[in-house]
Amino acid sequence: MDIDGSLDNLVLEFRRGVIVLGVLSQLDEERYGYALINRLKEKGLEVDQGTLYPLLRRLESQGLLESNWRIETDRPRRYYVLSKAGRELLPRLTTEWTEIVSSMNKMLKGRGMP
Amino acid sequence: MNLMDLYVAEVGRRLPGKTRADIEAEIHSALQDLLDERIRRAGKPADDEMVLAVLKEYGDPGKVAASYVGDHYLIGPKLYPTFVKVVFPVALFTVILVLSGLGSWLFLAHSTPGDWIQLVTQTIGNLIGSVILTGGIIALIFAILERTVPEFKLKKAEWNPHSLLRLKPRDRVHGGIPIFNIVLASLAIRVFNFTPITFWTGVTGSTAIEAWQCTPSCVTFHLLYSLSFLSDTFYRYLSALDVLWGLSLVLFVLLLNLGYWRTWTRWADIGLRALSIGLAAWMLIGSSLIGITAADLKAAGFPAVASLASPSIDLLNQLVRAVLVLMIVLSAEVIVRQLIRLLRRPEPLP
Repeated sequence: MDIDGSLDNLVLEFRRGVIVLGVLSQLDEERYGYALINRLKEKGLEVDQGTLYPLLRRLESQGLLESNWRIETDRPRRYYVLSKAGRELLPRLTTEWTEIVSSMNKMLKGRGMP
Repeated sequence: MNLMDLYVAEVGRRLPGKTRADIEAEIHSALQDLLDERIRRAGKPADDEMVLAVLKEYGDPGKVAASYVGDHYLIGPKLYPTFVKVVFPVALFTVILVLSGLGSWLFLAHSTPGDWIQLVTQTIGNLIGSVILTGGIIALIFAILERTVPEFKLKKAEWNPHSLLRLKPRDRVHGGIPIFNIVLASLAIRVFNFTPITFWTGVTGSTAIEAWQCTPSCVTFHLLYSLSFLSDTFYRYLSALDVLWGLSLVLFVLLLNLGYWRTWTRWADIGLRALSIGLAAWMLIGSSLIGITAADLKAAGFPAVASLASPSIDLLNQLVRAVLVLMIVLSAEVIVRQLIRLLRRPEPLP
């Protein structure tokens, strides 16, 4: 059995869910894609462009984000920000996340967790 | 067109038309941000190497397009634009074919207005069936290609942006030629396999030629439309022809999707042309492909001068042979052209 391969797949699955929360949490103010990637990186969450841009579009189509094109330094950039629905959802999603983390911490205590 | 535009176009042609422009604009903006970052770090203006590094970082255009479309599809992002390009001309051609048949029949047959209404109603029903069947055949072929041809699965190998530079204008596949070939091959498969002998009956619902009080011209028209002028010998070649049409369909769908001739597609084309030459030669030396005789024509009262029936059949046979010879010559010309292109080997990628 390829343990490393399995670990990679499982970590990838974790990250898929976590990235959504990470992205939503950083879009309470307008940001364009590349700035958001840098912001997430600063906070310790690395996301590549190929993951981020399609995700932003999906979240927008779900009504959680809004976007608009703006010309800056002679070229267009698309800015994303939380929509009204996104602002309502974020605290609830954060609560869910906190509860999950708390439960998992309890379950994993003594299994490599302090 | 610069490298970045080429890259964006490569992604864009794999995306559905509705969202294409918007996604292309966003990718272009993202690439420009990445390039700006590299320019800032290098402290020098952008050059081709810098652009290539950015494109490599962004990744294989096929993967990028797939990330926007997701993976729940019958026909995926790599084949979808080609599917759309193919299915509409084929459907349009099918509609024109059936409607022209209807128009000609109304013009040639001595039928009453009441018959026309019945005929038009039946034709509309059959037209819908024909379009669905033809579209279904094409969708099935694309779905099979999607799942079987490795080119359409996401490549694990590292994508090399230099491949964009190797695309030469002479290798570009112009959409009209593959679409024309796909339409022809689809209709040939549809007509000869899914409408047994009585194509016209399938189109109009008419069960007998006598039902419409045919004129002599109408008899000829019926013979042509029903394909009953073809001999049993022709149908013995049908399996081989089906293989040829099927492979042509696959090749031209792949070409339309790739957008450029590759070495293996040129060899595949040469192979198919060689196969068609062999088949045409086989048909040339075999028995007649025409199934009707002078007696059949005389019995149908066409042509009006009975003595012309036999020369008419001879003429038809000569016409078929001429078409076969023409096929051989044209195929040989394509083979020579493809071999010349293959001899001009592209420079290896850095």
